[in-house]
Amino acid sequence: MRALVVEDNPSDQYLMQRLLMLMGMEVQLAGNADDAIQLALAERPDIVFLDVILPGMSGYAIAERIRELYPYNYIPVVFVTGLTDDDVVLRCFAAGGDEVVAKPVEPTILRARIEAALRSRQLHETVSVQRDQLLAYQIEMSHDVDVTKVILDNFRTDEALRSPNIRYLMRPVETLNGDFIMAASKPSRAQCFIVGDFTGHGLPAAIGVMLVHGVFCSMVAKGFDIETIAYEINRKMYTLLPTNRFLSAALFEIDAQTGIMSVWNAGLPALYVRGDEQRISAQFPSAALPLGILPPQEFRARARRIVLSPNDRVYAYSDGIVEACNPDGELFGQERLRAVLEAEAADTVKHLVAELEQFAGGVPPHDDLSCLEVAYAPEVLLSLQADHHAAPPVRNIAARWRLGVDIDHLTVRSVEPLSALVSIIDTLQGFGQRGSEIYLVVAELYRIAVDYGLLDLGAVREQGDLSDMFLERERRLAALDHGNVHIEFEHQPQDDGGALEIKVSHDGNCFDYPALLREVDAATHSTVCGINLIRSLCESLDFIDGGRAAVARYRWREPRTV
Amino acid sequence: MSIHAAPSADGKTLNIRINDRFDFNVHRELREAYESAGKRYNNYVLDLRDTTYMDSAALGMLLQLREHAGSSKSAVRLRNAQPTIRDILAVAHFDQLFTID
Repeated sequence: MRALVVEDNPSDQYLMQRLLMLMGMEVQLAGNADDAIQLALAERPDIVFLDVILPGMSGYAIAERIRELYPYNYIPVVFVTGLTDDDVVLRCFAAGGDEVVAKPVEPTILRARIEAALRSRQLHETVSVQRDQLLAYQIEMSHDVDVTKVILDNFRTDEALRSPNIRYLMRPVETLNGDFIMAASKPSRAQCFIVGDFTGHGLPAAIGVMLVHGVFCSMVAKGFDIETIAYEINRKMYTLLPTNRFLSAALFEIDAQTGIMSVWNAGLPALYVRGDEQRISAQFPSAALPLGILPPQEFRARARRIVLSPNDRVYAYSDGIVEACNPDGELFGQERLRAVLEAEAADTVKHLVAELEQFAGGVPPHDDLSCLEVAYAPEVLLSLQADHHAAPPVRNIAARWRLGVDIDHLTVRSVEPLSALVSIIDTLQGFGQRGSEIYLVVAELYRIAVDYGLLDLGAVREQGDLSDMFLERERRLAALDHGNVHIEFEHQPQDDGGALEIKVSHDGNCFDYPALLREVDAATHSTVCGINLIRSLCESLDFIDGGRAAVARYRWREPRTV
Repeated sequence: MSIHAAPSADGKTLNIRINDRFDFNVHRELREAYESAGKRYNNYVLDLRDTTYMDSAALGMLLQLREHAGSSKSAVRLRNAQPTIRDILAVAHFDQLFTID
């Protein structure tokens, strides 16, 4: 340990030097201020002893100067003085002294003072190290949060959410929120949504949001239904999240062609549908435990379905909206929300924001606020998604191939096999963005085979009430104990591209397809049966074998531009 | 103290009463209440009569207690919940996991 002793009296110098050396210190001596500062700079002592009255500069001034020289390294300063009145002692401390020792120096007192001074240096060093660590953590943490926020914002401003039939509100309490809204479209051109609320905020919730985004977007793009997507998200959350974390979420999809909406709500407040005359015409309360709680083998999602009319609006929101507080501690509640949704307003989401702010009266929200509005606007949806799917065309050599698949009644009952099937033929031929058209055709042919052939729903379908039909369909599907569907693709190269023949046959009932076609032609039948859709996409559609098989011919042409 | 825990006379049940706000701030206290006893009780009864607020973190804590109690529906009973708290439990469908009376 190196000590600097600043003292102009030779006998005091000698005494201090001896005492300190006996304590094992290496001692430097300075008799005036200039020498003292120079030595302090050159030798960087571990402790400094100062007389108060010195030639040139006082001990106080030297103490202050040393503090300036070493702003980050704490050097204990001990004043050694013959002046013992209170004023002097106070000035010593004011100048930055740690201890004051009276002359004549008493060795035991000096030792005790030195130890006290060194203890405060130790403390200072520990605190500085911890402060630097905290600062480093804070910088790293805020950097991580910034990056995460950018990623989350990219999810949030996802192109799929920019559709003109969508409005939404997202107001997080913290930089990283636990609420999220996502949208994506299926190959069948249905729009799918998930509105979710993770337990907690911050990084853990952000990680959850990213996981959900991955599962949701890729499964929607492959055409899976919301029940299957819910199953998969639950499985992932159950496996990955700790016990006390879960995800309250509502998934819903709206079919652009038919307006059929499927909803599955697990732990979110009731979704509302606003129909004619601004009235709430349907609601979908939470029907299940939130995601991530039940083990996969106990999990079962069953969506509810209704048919929307053009311009119906669907509202989904997190509990932060209904649990917003006013200064009296009152909650915003379902009733106020319903009133806002039913009120005449150019932009209901903006109206809701204004009402919430007025209600809160300056009370900051304690939970994230999210609300999504989706209008069923078939023409907007169809045109928009055509753009959305306008990926660059895949150039591919037209090949000659044939592929057949048998689907038995157990498969028909439990899964939707078409997404996987279409992705296989897409791999064979590389249809690119045409894949979604082919999917539509296959899906409609398959639906006709199952509904009219295996389930014999023809009569029920024609009665017109879709909700009844869905119930009946579900009942018959669950009871289906025999029957097969056979799907066959045959691809032939053509001069300007290729032709794909899609044949879907079944071993169920014959049905009166000429009558069905007449009704379609006379436009008395709803578009639900999809025959018009197939005709608009294909060169031809024929029923053969008494309705037990349907053949559609899909043509694709090489783009002429190079 | 926002939590008061006491075993029943026969020592089989741990009665836990939660005051006012059931949120993340009672996390440590609740855990200590059911873990520190060093034994597992047959039943845990949460008395929510004084609870006026409950957030999703609290629902998460209930799941943790359920796991501690052995994950059966009868192991954790939720009692005397006020209407607002009942609503929260209903939206989350926690009646599938807990006995609510």
